Amino acid sequence: MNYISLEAAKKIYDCAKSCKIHWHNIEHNKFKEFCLDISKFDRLVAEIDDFPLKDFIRLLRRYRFKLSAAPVEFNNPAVISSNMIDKLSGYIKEFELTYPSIANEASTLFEKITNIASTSENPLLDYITSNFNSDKDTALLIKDSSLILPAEVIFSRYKNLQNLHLLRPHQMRGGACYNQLIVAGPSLWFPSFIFDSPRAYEIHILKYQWVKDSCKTESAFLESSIPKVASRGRKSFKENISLENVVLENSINSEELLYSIDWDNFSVDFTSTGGKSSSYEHARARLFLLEKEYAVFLEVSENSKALVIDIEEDENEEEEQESRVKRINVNDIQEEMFLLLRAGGGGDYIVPVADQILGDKAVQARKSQERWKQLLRKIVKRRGIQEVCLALKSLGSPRASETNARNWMSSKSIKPADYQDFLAIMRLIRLEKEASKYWKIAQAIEHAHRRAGYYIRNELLNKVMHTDLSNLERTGKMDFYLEQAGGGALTAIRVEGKSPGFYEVPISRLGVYFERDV
Amino acid sequence: MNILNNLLDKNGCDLPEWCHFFADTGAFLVNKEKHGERLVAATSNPTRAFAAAFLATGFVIAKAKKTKKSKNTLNDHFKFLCSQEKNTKLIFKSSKRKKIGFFDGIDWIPELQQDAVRIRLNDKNKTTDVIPRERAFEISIAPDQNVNISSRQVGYQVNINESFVEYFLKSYTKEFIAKSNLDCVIIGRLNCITNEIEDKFFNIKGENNKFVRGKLQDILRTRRLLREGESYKTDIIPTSKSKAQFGSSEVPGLVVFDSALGFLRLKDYYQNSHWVVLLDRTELSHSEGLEQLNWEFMQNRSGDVIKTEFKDVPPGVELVIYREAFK
Repeated sequence: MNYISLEAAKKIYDCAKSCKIHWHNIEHNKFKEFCLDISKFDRLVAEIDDFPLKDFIRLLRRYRFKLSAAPVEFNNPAVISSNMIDKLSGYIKEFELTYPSIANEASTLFEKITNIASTSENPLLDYITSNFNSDKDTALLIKDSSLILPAEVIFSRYKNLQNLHLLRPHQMRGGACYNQLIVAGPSLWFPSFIFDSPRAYEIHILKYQWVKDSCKTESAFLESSIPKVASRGRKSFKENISLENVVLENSINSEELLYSIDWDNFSVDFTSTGGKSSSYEHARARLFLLEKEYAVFLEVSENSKALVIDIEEDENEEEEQESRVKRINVNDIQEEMFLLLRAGGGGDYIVPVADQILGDKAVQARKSQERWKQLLRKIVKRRGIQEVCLALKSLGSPRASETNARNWMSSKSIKPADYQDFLAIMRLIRLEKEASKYWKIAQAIEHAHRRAGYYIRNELLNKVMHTDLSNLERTGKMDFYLEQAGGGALTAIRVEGKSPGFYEVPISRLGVYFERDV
Repeated sequence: MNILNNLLDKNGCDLPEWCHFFADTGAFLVNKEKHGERLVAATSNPTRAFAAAFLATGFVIAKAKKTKKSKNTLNDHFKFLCSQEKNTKLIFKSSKRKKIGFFDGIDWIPELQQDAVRIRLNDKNKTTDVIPRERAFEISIAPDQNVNISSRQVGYQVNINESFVEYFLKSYTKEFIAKSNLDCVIIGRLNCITNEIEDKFFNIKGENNKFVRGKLQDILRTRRLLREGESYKTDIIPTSKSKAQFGSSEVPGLVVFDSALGFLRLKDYYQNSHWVVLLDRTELSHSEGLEQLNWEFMQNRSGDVIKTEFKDVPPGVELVIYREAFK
């Protein structure tokens, strides 16, 4: 968190004192019908566990959410595409055969979405242009990062909205205060600090009329040391509220409207389509959702680390290891940290630099390493992992186990830590006479990897120190070009979420970021 | 309470009420100290800005005033100096510069009819300085007795804004500046806190409507921002540190956790100090910090919550103060 001046802090407390919250209900009959019908259909098919059906609903929900979350046209390419329409159409044909009992309802929904998506109506924008102008130092808060750019393009066409600040929730943590904050979507979509630690004198919540929204304030502590008379505590939403939220009979809860990731389907989409499918070349990984609808799988073993930029940390720390650029355990990666990944989705950023360090020897070294690993994999395939572990133990391996054997075979690991384990492997694959030669090569690769990591981190530290990170904070993604450390680039990209569970992912997919929604 | 009475901003305007609230909370804790128990206070705020700085300032001033009342006088300090072993390293003021020398004994100055401390420098002539009793507060024990003393010592210019501190501590000022005591440690973002206490100037309207300019560091005397050997009252520990940075024998009176993250990471190292936990609601770790704090409250609280009589609580701020037995 950046320094906030005394003057800025004064404004923050002024906002806390006098902030008024207003709800604005937007009407649109066709869109309302469509939204309510999706919920009905969802309830109808809730018990059916079928991928095409789940994907059909996912696409509809996504469209519904995005239109509720930003002032974009119903036919904006950021929310709907011809690919998506084709996909939905394909599912309809499938349902006529597989689920005839619900095919009619699905077809009706499809008609409605194609109807709505054929128009350029934009009810949220119409409301904003009629009721607000950016001369009053106004900001618009948008939940979904992928909608910022499309919204920017739209607002650039309106003179009275050209100075509107388009913000994401994390940007409300700082010291900047506004006269007006327009919130696109119900209040429950956003972190509570937007409303209980406001950075605006007026907050205007724009939501569709049929969306239920409620506000709740809770005391932070179990008891208070402040006399009740003096307490102006956290602002009660019930004070200074106009256009009180009206609950209608036909309505949807705001949480239901949120487009949440179906983690199980996510893994089916991406993990089965990437890379080699050898069962020994898979790793346990967690899925991280990134800014601008990207995602990445990262391995989660005990020693798995990732390079991150943590803007929350102090600059100019005395100890180099504790600074904004650091290697942390994958399990410790939090939302709003910035992951550093190979630009262009190239996976491992160490290997190319290590190869440069190895120079002429790189190709031969990698071939040699792959050779003994490949021979080991063949034996495991023939005899099974348990038998191989027993065999390695009998050949002198002190640490042979299923986990270790898988690691030793994996192209992600360079060599066993102990020479005795390595020698046992060489004996097993009948390369004992060349054990020493292969060991030296493996050591050279390991040394090159360590030096590569050192160069990359040092150059990155230098780059980050001299880069204005406020741009990274604002856009959520930035490339860092590493001229010194063998060239290439790393991309810093904000983490937006992480999967609750783990997946078995081909090693070739690890660290390769990809676009989430196709 | 108004412990920072008449402190104005750099333009001579009144400080916002929330600045006084945090300072008075710090002072309130001093008044509630009780032997055998420690105090835990927590606030939930719309921003962390300046809260720790003002709270620590209020605490340090109130602590100094309380110490003053316990009759720690010039004579006591002189006796204390005279009781040191020969060759103990002392920091003393010599012609507006601070130098380090060896305690060499006691002299008598007939012209002043006073005894005096004799301090020997490390130069080839073994030059001595004689400081009379009335200036005893200009001498302090060097915190690091292993510090090297150059044979060609020039010393460093004394940079103490005495007139600013004097407004709050009156006649106790010299004694306050002379002695080191770790009253308070702030754990938080080093750069932010440093900016707040070192780079931000305030004013006091003194006599004849003249403004006396100063900064919170003039009162806080944060060790990290002082030269080696200067007397200190507080220190700052960056949140990212993995363990306490000063000698295990030095336990601060108060630890101010200027973020939930600092509290979660380092609270176990300060079980023998009073705590203030400042929770900024916009901070990422806020809910985790709050959960931990409420758990601590349920598990360790001793007696009822301590009620304050603050009349003007800043909007959006919550406060709880309770006692815990020392572990």
